Amino acid sequence: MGFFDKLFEKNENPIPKIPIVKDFQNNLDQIKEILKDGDDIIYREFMVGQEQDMKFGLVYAEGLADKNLLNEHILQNLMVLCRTAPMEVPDLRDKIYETIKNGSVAVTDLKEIDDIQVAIDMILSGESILLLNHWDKALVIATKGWPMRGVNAPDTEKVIRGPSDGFNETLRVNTALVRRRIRDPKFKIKQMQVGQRSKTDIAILYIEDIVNKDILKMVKERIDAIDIDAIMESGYIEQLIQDSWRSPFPQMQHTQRPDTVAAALYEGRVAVIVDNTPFVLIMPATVVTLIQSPEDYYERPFIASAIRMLRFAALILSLIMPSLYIAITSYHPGMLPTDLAMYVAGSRANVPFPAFIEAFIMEAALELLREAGIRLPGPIGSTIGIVGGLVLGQAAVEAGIVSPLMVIVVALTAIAGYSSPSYSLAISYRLLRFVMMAFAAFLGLYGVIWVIIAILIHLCNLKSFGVPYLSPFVGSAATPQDFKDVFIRAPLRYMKNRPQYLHAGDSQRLAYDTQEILTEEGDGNGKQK
Amino acid sequence: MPRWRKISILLLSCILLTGCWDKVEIEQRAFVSAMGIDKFDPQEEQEKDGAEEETEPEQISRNRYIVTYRYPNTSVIAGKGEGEPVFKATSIGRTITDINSEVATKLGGNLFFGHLKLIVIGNSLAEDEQLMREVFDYIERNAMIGRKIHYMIASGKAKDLLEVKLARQPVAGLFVRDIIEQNMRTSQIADADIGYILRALHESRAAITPQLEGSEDELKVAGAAVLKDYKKIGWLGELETGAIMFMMDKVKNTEITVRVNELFIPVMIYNSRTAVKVEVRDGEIYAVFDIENEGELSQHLFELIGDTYEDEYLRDVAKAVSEKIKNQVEDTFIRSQKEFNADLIQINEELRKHEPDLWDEVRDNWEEVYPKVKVEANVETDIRRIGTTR
Repeated sequence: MGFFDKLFEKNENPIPKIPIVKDFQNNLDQIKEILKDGDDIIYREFMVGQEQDMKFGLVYAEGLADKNLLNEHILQNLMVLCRTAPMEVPDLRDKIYETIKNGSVAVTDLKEIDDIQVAIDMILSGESILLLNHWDKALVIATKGWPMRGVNAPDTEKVIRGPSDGFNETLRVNTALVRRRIRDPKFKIKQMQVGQRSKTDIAILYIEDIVNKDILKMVKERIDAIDIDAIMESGYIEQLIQDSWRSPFPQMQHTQRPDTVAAALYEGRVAVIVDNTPFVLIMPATVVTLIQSPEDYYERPFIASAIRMLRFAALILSLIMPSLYIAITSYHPGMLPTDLAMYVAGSRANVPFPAFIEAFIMEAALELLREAGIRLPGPIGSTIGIVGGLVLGQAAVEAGIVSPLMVIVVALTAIAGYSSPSYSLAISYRLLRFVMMAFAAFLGLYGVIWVIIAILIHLCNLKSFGVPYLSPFVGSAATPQDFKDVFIRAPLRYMKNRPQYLHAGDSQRLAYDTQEILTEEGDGNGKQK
Repeated sequence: MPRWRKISILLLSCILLTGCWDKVEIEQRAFVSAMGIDKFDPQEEQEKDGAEEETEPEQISRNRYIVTYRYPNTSVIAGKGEGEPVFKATSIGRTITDINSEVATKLGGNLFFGHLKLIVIGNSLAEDEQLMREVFDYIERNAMIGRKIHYMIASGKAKDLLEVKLARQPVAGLFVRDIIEQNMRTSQIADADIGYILRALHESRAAITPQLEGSEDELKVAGAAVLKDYKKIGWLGELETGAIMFMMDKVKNTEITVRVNELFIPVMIYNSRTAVKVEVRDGEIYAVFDIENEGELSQHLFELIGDTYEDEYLRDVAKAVSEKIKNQVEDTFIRSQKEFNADLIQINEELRKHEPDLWDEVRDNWEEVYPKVKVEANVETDIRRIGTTR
């Protein structure tokens, strides 16, 4: 744990406070000194009042602050309207601060501060600072407003049925998208900043009386312990707070869908939104949550269950299919039906490579295609499909470099891999697939079984924020109730409780008496009483 | 060395030193689909080859078997190559294992028996107890050879049968499998796989094996050979084979033609159950076969109206069928006693299981007791369907 101790060691010297003094020019100079060479910072000094004798200063970062708002509601009020308004109160000069705060600045969010360091943070996060002469405080005007992407449909996790709004890069928009789905005073959004230099905003979302307090505490403690210069993406947070960095499996779910986040919060999980990224983390994650898709709950239960089982099968197939091909063709041809075995032998007759090399070449080519497809700009992206399909598939087979069966195996593997709703789970399987192929190549099915056993041992051991990763298959807290949402998705009327393995509060979700509704509203055959 | 390292080395060697070390790519294997084993007859070889080097006296004493392998040209099956669909290889040697490795070396590949479908034993070898026991041992030991494969005795030489150029299926082994499966409906083929034969030989040292006959471009399974003390001692005809199948409860579909009121009426038996019991009555051992059949009239006479609706008539037909089966079963059983003294149905096992005290008395002289066992067949037949009749 030495690595982590060093990593989480807190810098124990907080930056000393620089108080705002009454001398206006001094304050301004201090800020200018700290933000020296920051050419995007605008300093606007102006005079207010009929006699033009009150000195004001407005500081903001261009591009981050909403210029329209500053012009129309602050500068205009202070400069134009104040001049025309008669100064009736004689001691106005003494009360100027109150007047400005309560009567002149027409914005919703105002704060007062007395520390230049805080003022600097505010400026850099997009707020504007209003400084007054002869006043030892400064006003923070909420003017955050920068160009941002709209609420678009997310590129990943598409669904046929269901909302298509997705998170964007602005924390506030993201919290709003979740808040729209949870109008509950118990829904909490706790904000904090992480990163010595980046000061990235992070919001921890939970529903107070549902969430498991231990998990929440763990999340907060681990995020508090982070002491890093900058957070670029939620992946940083994920990697810094996950339980085991050695594991190939993702221990947190990430999503771009607000409905997924809201559903997780209702189950008693915790979500972490990080500014500057549309990917929101949900914790704790289990293998099962990574295979569930939001659409499972929107569709009727039978089709949803069937598709979910298909997904389970696809995940297993994508892991073991190439290694099974290697093991069976190289070691156990007796396991194939006779006709198939002879066909396989015949189709491999001129292939110059052993099955392992053949499979390795094809799988590596597939990974290359995938990687190249991501990098290429959209219109050219389809070229890769043609090149991959034709050149690698057709031509390789015709040239006799690989057998047609291998192409089928690789194609099926790729399709099965893509069917996983969780990209991070699918890519960890990609890695394990190669390990498995290597073992299949030199130990046969025996090696495949060993890798499967090793993976299972690891999975049984793995925990995500204290919750066993294989819940509800393992773990004392899981109950048979939890299996209503594993291989099948039970009809909603029977999913009355939140997942038990999370120890969530307020465990009943649904009060629904089937008998009552059916007898009150007819017997389902359209006959009314 | 720290303890954990010792333990992990131990564990790793457990994992890594075991496993499958016989890696051979699938295309480098020769999938032997049929294997013919003949007795090496020096005289015959001499006549055929003239005074070739193979006939040196030293050579003669060493060679005991001729083994013929038939394996498919997989390229042709996959539609990629041309040429003969089936390859053959023949070699002579002292033991089957010797010949296997010799042929494997000659082919530059590996003989793979995991998909073996058929073993044919030449007639002359089948009559040699010593060689037959060696062959059975070879088959039972070989882990790759499945227990569901067919083991047949050729009417002549196995080599000739495997060299028959079949008009239909290219792979001889598969072809025989098809014949067997098709012919299940006429129970006159002995439904006996190597698993049954080995078990039967262990239990009563007697078994039946199907007989394989061949012509120009055809193979035919007909009748059965009787094995006693591991060697062939005689043949059973098709009807008798059918009767044995009834006794062993292996009949699935069969056709029995009876003569009722001057009409030949074929009855298709599609459901047959046999319960074998051993009973002791008045100090005599009875083998009782309770056979229940269900069948349908598959042919009658055009424009003969009325008869088939009458219970009485149908009962007569059923009775005739029962009678016929009863006679066949009892005759065949008696023949197995009188002619072969071979306990083909493993009555001794029934005795051991259900009459252990009696078995203790007779086990040592079962050979003498078996011919005295009385047989009783109780056959009941129901005609369930009469077909389309006006």
